[in-house]
Amino acid sequence: MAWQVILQLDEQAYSPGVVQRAAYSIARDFVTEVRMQGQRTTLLVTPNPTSANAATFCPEQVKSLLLQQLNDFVLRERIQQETAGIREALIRTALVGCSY
Amino acid sequence: MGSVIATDGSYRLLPFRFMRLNGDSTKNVLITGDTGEHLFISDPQLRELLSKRLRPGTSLYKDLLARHFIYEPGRHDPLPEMAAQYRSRKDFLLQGPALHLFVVTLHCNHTCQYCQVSRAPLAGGGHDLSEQDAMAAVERLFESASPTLTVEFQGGEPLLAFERIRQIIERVVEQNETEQRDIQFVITSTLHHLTDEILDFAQEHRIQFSTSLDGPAALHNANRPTPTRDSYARTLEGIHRVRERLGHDAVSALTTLTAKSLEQPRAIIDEYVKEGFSSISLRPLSPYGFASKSAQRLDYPMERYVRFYKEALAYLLELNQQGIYLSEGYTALLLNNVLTPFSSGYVDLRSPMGAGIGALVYNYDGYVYPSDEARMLLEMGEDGLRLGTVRQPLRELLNAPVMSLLLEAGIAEALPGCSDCALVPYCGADPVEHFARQGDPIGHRAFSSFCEKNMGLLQHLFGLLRNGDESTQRVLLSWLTRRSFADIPHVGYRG
Repeated sequence: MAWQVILQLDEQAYSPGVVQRAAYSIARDFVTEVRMQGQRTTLLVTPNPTSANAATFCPEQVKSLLLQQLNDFVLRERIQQETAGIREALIRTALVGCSY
Repeated sequence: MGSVIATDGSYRLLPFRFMRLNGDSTKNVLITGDTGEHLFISDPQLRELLSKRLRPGTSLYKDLLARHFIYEPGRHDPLPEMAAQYRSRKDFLLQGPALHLFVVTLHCNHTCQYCQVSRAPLAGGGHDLSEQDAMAAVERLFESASPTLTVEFQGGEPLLAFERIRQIIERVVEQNETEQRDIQFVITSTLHHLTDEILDFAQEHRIQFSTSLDGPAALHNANRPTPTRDSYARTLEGIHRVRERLGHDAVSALTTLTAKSLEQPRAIIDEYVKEGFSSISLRPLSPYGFASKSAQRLDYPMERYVRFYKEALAYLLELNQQGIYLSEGYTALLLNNVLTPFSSGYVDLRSPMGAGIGALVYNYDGYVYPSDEARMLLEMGEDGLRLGTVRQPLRELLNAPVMSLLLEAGIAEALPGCSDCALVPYCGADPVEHFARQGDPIGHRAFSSFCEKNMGLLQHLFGLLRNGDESTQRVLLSWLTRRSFADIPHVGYRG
């Protein structure tokens, strides 16, 4: 293992859903172990051994990429919370009578 | 929408997704809505939008309002209009399967190592669709509510079972006198076995031919070996014969790309220009049938295909700007999904999935499959994706347990990774492909070739739509509208 990036996060800033989605989004190149203790979430990120790309990243780049993903998923969660129910109402209205 | 309308006068968000795009543009964030609307904005604009700091009256505010990314509570209810748009994009759900593929025989004169469909040698029996099963399948296709039906014949080499094709078409035509559907017949063939009798029949029933042309002679013959080593010459002869009798557009061609093909995008495209085609379809190898057994030698990583696609697309844009009309088929489908309110109808780019819901395959052995790819998995020893037999009513086939299994993985908007992806309104769900590649109909997007391909292509197209010069945009528009480059107005023209 060439390197390991450790990120300590506050659960109030990054929900478990956000953390899991961010880890999923980078899974092609990086393996993320998620540890949750109380209000603290710890991420241990290492290169995915099957990825040819992972070796081209240095730890600082990985940290930056992961933070970008985490912060973007926070924004998406915010959109989701604010618009909860609208998407379902849209689909219900649009597809009424759709069955075979 | 009464439950979501507030009354404090400020704007509210409607559901949307966003994605960061590469490149130098300051508008590096793509936002998309469920209705298919899209907009490029900057990162600061995204933050202003989310924190409700946008000022009414600005052009961005008006754009966001018009494209249903925001709404003004108490002032208008966007739901009826959005629902109409959404229904248009998903109208394929209202109709039932429209594409019906008949595998009339597995026999074939070729021995292609990458063959995407299963085949059997010319000699031998037991690989032909029986008359009884064929007639039962015709009953199934008319049980679909779709007002338009495509009846496609595949193989093996379907022209080796032309008498069965004739029986099926005659029965379909007879039954359609009362059904009155809009029906199109297509034969997917090497065209090596064309006869005057077949051409007469094709002319009578306005049959379209779809063939494979992999590029120049050396490449085509290497990809498609026959004992006489003349596959290219015989296919070209067939193309010319069809055009002579049925008209220039009665035959279209698809390209299958092996690792060797990826080295010569220009030569492949030049071949299509030389033969006067108006469309080329640059499709990567599929992990099915015999293709997976030869994968180590012929296959390639999807990122190599995406690089090839970009190079080929650049060359196609260049040619089109010179007045040579040649569109790339998959690009035209994606553009349709991005730039029009309608779905392209292409089964691989549908969500819910096209398999079963949009297409059915009647195999030579009387079994029914939800897609061509599902029956190809038979060659990998997997028969679990059968819906049933041609003797079962359509309703029973579409309610088969395997359909439930596939549907659970067949709605892209609900899949991990896809549910947050800004490209999901233009993409599709392909549980059969994920089952074939990852052994799981849902699969993991980070390792999905389907995802890598569609992400790569769509991101490239969005880049061209955002940054491309006027000529590039006019070419893309010409593909979308099937008009010549010269007929597409210049920017600013509003005549």
